[in-house]
Amino acid sequence: MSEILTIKGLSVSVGSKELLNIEQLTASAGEFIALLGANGAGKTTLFKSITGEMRADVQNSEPVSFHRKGINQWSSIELARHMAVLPQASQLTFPFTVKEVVALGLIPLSASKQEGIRLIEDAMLKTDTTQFSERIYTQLSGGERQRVHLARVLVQLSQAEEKPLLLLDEPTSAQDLGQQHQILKLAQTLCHEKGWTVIAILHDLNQAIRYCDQVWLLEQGRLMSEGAPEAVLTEDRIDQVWGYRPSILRSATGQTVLT
Amino acid sequence: MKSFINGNRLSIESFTPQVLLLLIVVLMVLVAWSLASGPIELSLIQSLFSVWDRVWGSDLSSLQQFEQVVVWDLRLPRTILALMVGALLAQCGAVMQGIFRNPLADPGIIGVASGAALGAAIAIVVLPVSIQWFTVPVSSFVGGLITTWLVYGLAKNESGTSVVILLLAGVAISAFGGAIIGFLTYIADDQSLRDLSLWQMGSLASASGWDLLLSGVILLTVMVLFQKQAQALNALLLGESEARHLGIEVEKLKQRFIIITAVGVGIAVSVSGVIGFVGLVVPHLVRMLVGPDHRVLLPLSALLGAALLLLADLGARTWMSPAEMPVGLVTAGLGAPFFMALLFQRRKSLI
Repeated sequence: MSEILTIKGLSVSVGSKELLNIEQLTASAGEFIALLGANGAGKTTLFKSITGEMRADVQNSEPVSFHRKGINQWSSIELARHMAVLPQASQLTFPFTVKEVVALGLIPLSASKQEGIRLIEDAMLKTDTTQFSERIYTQLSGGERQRVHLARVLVQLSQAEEKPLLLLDEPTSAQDLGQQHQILKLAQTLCHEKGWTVIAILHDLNQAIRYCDQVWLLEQGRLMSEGAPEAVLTEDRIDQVWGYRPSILRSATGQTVLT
Repeated sequence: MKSFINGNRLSIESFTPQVLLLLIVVLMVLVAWSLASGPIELSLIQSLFSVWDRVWGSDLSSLQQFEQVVVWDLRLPRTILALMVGALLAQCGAVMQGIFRNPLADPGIIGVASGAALGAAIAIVVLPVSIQWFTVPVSSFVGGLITTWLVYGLAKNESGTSVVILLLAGVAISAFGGAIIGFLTYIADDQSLRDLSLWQMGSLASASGWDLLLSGVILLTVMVLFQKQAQALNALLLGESEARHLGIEVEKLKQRFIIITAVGVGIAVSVSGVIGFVGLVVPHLVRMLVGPDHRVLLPLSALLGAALLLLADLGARTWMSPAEMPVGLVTAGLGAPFFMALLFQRRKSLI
């Protein structure tokens, strides 16, 4: 598998407080990665460092490279075509229709009108948002809005020439049980069938075990452990990070379950 | 009524072609009416022919010389200035609401127009009369620009801008501007005092050729620049990080928009005084009809703004004819209740 994201010697501080210090971390094409950690462990800071929104402490070195190119070397349009972020919640307060919001994903693309319509419809079908495409965005529930934005970022990445990277910030937090599984299933399919890389901040460890190929576990701004979910998520580590000692069971189908 | 006040759309259907057609017809009717009305009574046909005669050198209107002058030198410039100032104010209002991500931002309410007025007043009183054609608009622009930065810096927060701080900043800046203008009135000599008080009333009556040229050039420039960035402004409504992730260079975009709106408001204020609420009411109505997509919202706002200000000016000149009211009084009289209705609707979410 080819490496698409490389993080080397990344440290981020605000004032004298160090938020993040990561020596080495890589993501490959086709991997679905869960980013885990307690509140304030640096998950969001890591996301912002990957997108280039938050500057690393040492300005001149390039601690984050995407497709072998420093993140700040990318032009903003090219980067937008290859890397997208699903926000946890968006503050859009103007009365766009759902379809118009999804269409904003076309901004960095060069698509004809028909091509654009096809991309929008395709993304809405995948995210189960077609039934409210004609409604006003501001009148939707939190979960519905989040799926609309998921459709928007799918459109945004639909013309990537290189394998794209999708960052999901708590994609399941506002969803009901059925939708949670559909979204994770969709992310998994994008990774395994189209070779996308998805990094998702998750809070449900069982979901990480069930859907993700890799886990990055952060603890106070440092990478505590990385690897296959079942290898990383041991009782000791979970106790150390979250202060809760789970029992680890194995279901009849061989699935690991934490309770 | 609910959707009217809370800024939602009347329907998800976009009425763009119908609205466009209607606005063009309304504009034409208003222009004809504006040329024909005033203390000297002329028929609609005669006034239109009079303009035609002047352009083509014909003699269809059979008006007397002085009547020709009234139409060509008084009513026509005033009509054109009303159209252009209305379009400028409405567009600047719409864009300001976009960058502030707040449908209550209006150049008048948040103090930008007061800042521009202060700039213009300083130029009128302090700087030499001979170069005022240049110093008044520039100083007005600088006043508007400083105020916009200040208000934006104060009110900016995670989810856009705080309405409470916007409005309070508007109150503070208007009070400050009022105090300084009062002081300027106090120290002004007779000539500047006359200029200042005439200009302050917010009137379109004294439209000079230079005013027309200046506002025409600025209006065209502003419209073209806004239109080019309309899609980026749509992305900005999602939030600043979201816009950045869509490849928009947010800081540059905001700077550019703040400067252009300050130019637009500054010029509008320098040629016609403070005319409030056009920038609030017009984009609001257009958004209700066609939705918030700036690619459509901006040009339609320009048309409706032009029509609305011309109508307000018609009211101001004909209601107490032959006397005149300042047009700013008419727009405030209509706009302020509208604004209060918006506040009333949002009162629960404001605090």
